[in-house]
Amino acid sequence: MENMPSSVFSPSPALLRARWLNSLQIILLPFGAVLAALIVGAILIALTGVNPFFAYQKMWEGIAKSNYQVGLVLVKATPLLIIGLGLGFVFNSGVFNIGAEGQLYMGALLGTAIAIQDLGVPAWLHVALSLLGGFVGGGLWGLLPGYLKARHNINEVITTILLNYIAIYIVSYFTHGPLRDNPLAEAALPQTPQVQLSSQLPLIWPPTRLHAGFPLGLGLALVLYLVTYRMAFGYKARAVGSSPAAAHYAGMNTTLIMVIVMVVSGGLAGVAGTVEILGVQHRLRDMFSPGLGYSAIAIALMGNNHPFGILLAALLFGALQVGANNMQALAGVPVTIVDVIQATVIFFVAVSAMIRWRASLPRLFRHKGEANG
Amino acid sequence: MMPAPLLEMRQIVKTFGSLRANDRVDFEVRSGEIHALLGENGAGKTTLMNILYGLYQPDSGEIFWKGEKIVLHSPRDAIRHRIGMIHQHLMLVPNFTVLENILVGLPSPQEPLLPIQETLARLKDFAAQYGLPIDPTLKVKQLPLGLQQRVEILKALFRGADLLILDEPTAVLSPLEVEDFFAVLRNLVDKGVSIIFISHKLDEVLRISDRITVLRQGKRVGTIETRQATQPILAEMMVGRAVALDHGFPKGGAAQPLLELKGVSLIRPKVGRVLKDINLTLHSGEILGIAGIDGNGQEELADVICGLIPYSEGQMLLEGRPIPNPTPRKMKAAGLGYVPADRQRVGLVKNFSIAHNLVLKSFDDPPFNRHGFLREKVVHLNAQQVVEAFDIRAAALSQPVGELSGGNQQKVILGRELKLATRLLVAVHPTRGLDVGATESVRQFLHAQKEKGIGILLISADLDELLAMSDRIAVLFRGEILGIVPGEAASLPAISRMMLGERLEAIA
Ligand SMILES: Nc1ncnc2c1ncn2[C@@H]1O[C@H](COP(=O)(O)OP(=O)(O)OP(=O)(O)O)[C@@H](O)[C@H]1O
Ligand SMILES: [Mg+2]
Repeated sequence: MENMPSSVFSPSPALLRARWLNSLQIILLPFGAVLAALIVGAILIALTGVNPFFAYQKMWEGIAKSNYQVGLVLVKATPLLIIGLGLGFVFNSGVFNIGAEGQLYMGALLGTAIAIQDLGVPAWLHVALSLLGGFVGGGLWGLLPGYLKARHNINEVITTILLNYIAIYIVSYFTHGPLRDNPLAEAALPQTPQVQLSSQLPLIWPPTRLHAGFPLGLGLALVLYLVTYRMAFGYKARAVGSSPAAAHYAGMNTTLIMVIVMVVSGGLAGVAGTVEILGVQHRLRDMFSPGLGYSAIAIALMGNNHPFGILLAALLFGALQVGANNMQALAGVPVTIVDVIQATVIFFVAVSAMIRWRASLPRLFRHKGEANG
Repeated sequence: MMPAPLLEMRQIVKTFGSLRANDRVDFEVRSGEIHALLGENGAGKTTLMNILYGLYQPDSGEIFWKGEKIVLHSPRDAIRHRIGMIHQHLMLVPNFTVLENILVGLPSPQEPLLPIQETLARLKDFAAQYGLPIDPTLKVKQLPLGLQQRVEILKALFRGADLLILDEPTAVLSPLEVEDFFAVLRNLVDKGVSIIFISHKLDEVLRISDRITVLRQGKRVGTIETRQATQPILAEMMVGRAVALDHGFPKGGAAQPLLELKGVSLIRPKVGRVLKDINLTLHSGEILGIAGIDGNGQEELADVICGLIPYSEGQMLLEGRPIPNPTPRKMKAAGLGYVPADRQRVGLVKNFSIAHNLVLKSFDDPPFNRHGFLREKVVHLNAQQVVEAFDIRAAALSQPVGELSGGNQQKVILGRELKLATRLLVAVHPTRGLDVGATESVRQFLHAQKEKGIGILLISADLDELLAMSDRIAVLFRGEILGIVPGEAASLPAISRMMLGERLEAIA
């Protein structure tokens, strides 16, 4: 039996090496994407007459010059991380939730509605209740398309996109109407009053802006890792994603699982929205999100739907954003170029995700059948 | 001097991690022959053919085609050289029609328009020329497997093929379909097509092939003229020692009724009645065979019993107690194991490891689950046991199941389901794709379970298997049971006629 491995019970060194190369590829591809985007950005920056090396030096300083800047990066990364975790979770089950933006708005709405009340309860409880409100708001907004998909096989991509618009307009209505701050004032902005002091997330690294939302995100990453890769539910959810027919055959309640993952993903987007209000903005404004729910899709893809990968990707996006702002302010790079660089990152991330996806296809559908696992 | 062979593969090596799937294999095909490729599960047959079709690149070795050295980077190269392949698992788009499936990837003279009229005309030609009639407007998912296979062959012929690779084409065909299929093969050979034929059924290989090459654990054992081969010689070449080939099993021993179907019907929207008024009793300690040409309701019957599809009318009883709404969970809890027909899509989650596939139905149950967490150690131990008991050949327990050879995938399903079947087993083509040795041990295992009092519903296209194993055999035709006969050789003529639609009463 010389060509059988010595034992089938422990992976051979060669197999482990192949696995390791595979994970290396998973990590390297996104970094390649970022590098490619930076090169494209450099060319664009040069075209505007700015020295790209100078611009990128400012960008780097913006990210790491001081503790303050590092804190900013983490603050920017926080909502992306929390939404991305939920999206990775739902994508693993083969449900394509494009509705994080709407779920974020609905969560922020309910969370803020609780946070602005003077409940006379201790601060930790007020924060917890507000976050719970955020989860419920976002979760309900995920429940609807989840149910429609699971029960009636209605395409979730379409329903979630449509629900995004509805959510944004609902928040508009509340910030212009029932929840408007000081509605009688002449120049009242479409925003709610400030949240109560008791519901604000504490700053945890003064003098930086870093608030308790970031460690909350880290904790959630750990929880989702455990659920997805250590708990039975995660196995079932992933089985539903990779092979619905096999999941049904195995007696899994595929409908219920799809609904649960949609609620969790929507709920986490809602929590992210609430965290953004309680930790940074302190009031809910009309149109307050710059597309966080969409960026988080790219983050989940880049992180390969794995909680720790999503953490890295969120940090990277946070850094790019803070760095780009600095580059704009100090190197005079037009703001549109900064937007283009960010969009290019997303584009290349999507491309690299496609490459990886093709590499994971059954070998028969590939042209080059290299062994990598 | 012999003329140069059509194909010569020299010293082909292919490794996956530390596993040598092909180890310096020489293989040659002469023009106009049917060359059979034999070997145990995991011997490397599919791998060698995937190399020939450009799907895998060999680590080393050379391929000579029509006397010239060629390098195949992709199936496109193979197709350009007029090499066609039909895979172990058919690769058609179920929701497309026959015509659409043939059109996929076909070059068109009037791009971007599809050559629909030309294709229809050529289809007619092919049908007449090779004896391959088919209705191009039907959706592939409505076709029985035998016809789906015909679509695959037509697809390959459309792309032009001087050499056709057929990986286990007869695994799920009933004997009658096999006859048709062999007639088609002979026809193809007459028209100048050479054929590589992979099968685990030695009698078929002996009947249809001109020469036979045997692989064992990645190495070529030898090539012999079929005239000089016998089943025992081939079996010994494959396994390395003499093997006992199939013999009958003692019959009888049925006790009280275990599972009863009373007037069960299944009505599917748009399709109609797929099962009609099924009355069937399976006793404990009995093997009840279900015969029929594939696509006559066998899979639906299995799915209904196992709770995957709710039945529309009638009643199902387990040990006398009605089960109004069977679900996969309930039936598993009642001690049912189910080996489904579609192992790739239904039976396994291909990107999960062997170990996790072995607990696919038990994620929620002790001892694998504690407080919602999966106990990887226990899962691993369980996998060790099953892998050993069923001789599953793999590089590691953590290997994704999709990377296993076809027969080893089947063994993973068997390993899981036979354990779950503490009262009742529904097995569809349980030995499909298994080599002679594995087939024998699965049959022995089934028989041992029966002796322990388990009731087994054995659905198979293989009449020899049904006759060897079953106490009684029911024949399904268009969703109806046309008769039930004893499981003995004397029943064969009646079974064959019922499979074509005659009722038992009419025959007797
Ligand atoms: N893509 C792959 N990655 C890793 N290992 C593989 C891969 N494909 C095949 N193998 C391994 O190579 C060996 C040979 O597999 P192959 O599919 O060629 O066997 P086979 O002779 O066709 O068997 P069967 O009769 O069961 O179909 C097996 O041990 C299988 O696990
Ligand atoms: Mg094979």
